[in-house]
Amino acid sequence: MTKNIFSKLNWFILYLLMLLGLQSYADYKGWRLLGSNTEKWAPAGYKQHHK
Amino acid sequence: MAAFENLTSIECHSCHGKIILRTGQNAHYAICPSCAASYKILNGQTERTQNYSQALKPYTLPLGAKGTIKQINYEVVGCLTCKQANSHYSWREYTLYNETYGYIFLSEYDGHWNIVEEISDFPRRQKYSKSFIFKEREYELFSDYGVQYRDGAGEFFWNINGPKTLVLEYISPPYSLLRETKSQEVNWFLATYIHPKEIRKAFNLPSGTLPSRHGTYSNEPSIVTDLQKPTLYCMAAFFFLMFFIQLFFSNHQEQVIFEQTFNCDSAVVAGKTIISEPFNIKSNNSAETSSLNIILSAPVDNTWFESQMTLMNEDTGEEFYFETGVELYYGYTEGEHWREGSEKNDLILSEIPDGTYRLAIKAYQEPLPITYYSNISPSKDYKVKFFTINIIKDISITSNLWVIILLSLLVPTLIIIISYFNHTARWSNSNVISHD
Repeated sequence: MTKNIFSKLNWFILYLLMLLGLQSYADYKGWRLLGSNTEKWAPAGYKQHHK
Repeated sequence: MAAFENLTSIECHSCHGKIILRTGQNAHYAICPSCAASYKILNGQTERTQNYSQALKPYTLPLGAKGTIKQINYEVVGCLTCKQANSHYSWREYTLYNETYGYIFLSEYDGHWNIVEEISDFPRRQKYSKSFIFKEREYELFSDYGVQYRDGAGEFFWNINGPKTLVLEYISPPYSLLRETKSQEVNWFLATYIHPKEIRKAFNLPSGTLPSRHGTYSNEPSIVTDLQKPTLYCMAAFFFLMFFIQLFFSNHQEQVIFEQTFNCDSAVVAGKTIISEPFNIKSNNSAETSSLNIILSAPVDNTWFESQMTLMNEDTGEEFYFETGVELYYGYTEGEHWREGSEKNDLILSEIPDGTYRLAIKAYQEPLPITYYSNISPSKDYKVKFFTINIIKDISITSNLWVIILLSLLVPTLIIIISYFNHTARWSNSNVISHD
């Protein structure tokens, strides 16, 4: 029965693992998940240059 | 002897209709489906007992209906409308029979269905236990009532004319345990909630033939039934993993990459731009972006100091604009010392690409000292003489942790809310708790 209940929560376990992954990746990239303290500006050629 | 062993029908004394006996010699009582006259059957002889009312509406599962439940073929042999004594609650019970496996029952109330089976390994408990554990599940007393039969049709193996049956119903959705007492005899039944579509499938009924469900039934499972504890375990494992990752795998190696003190001359007050020394940002990994902590400190004394900064990438021309400031005020008002603000302030910049940077700073400070505080001395110079900027690379962004924690709590919160409303709706029908 316990196995059955946890199988009902597969999606939730997956969701939690995804959050852990997101947190670790944001940490790795130096991302801020919510909000920003900066306004970014790039010269016109920058995006083209960095494609 | 052989004659009544193979008894397949009896004639109703009242309407002379034929009462089919599908269970042969197991039929000890019968109710005429045409006129509701009731009979006791003993050794092939019928004895008239009492009359029941005619059913007000047709039974959802008629006598003789065949269905497959738990992969066993059953036939409906008896239908009864039961009524809770001293209450308006009534429900229907269908007796189903299979020659090999015997009897099971189906109960129907307001569109809700239960499979009811007699159990022999019953919970040996005191009569009025409020709850108990049976087969690793906790059952709670939900209702306590007497059962009367109002109308019926078909055949029965028990005395339908006997004294009122007293029932204690214990629930643990999707199950109920029913303790039935009749005379001195106690029987336990296990009821399992079954979705109407399963009944429809089992009896091969066309859609729309079953009444729709109303309200929440005592043992009706909700989408969150049994999920609370496993969710709690999942959350505990999640927080443990999160803590573990933060502690051992977080590759933050905080590093001061820039530190410079700037003198505040008249140009600063005028808001002219100061350009810092160049500095390098190089991430410690292949991500090629870093988080930065910009720390501004200035010896403010009952004044403020503001700055507008632009982080300029000398290689690409990319710019990141941000503002930060410090303020510190203190004094003595109405007999109390007070202090607000700080000489230091910081902010976090995220996802800054690798490269060589300079800071372009426009600084502002309060042009005149504030004189309305009691402790301001007119002779003192309150101007900020210098300010310092420190930049630390690869700092941990705490707000990310909070975002993740909040997102992880969404589902448990939803489960708690659904459980609460479900619990309230379910227990509003209980007659053993106070509804004040």
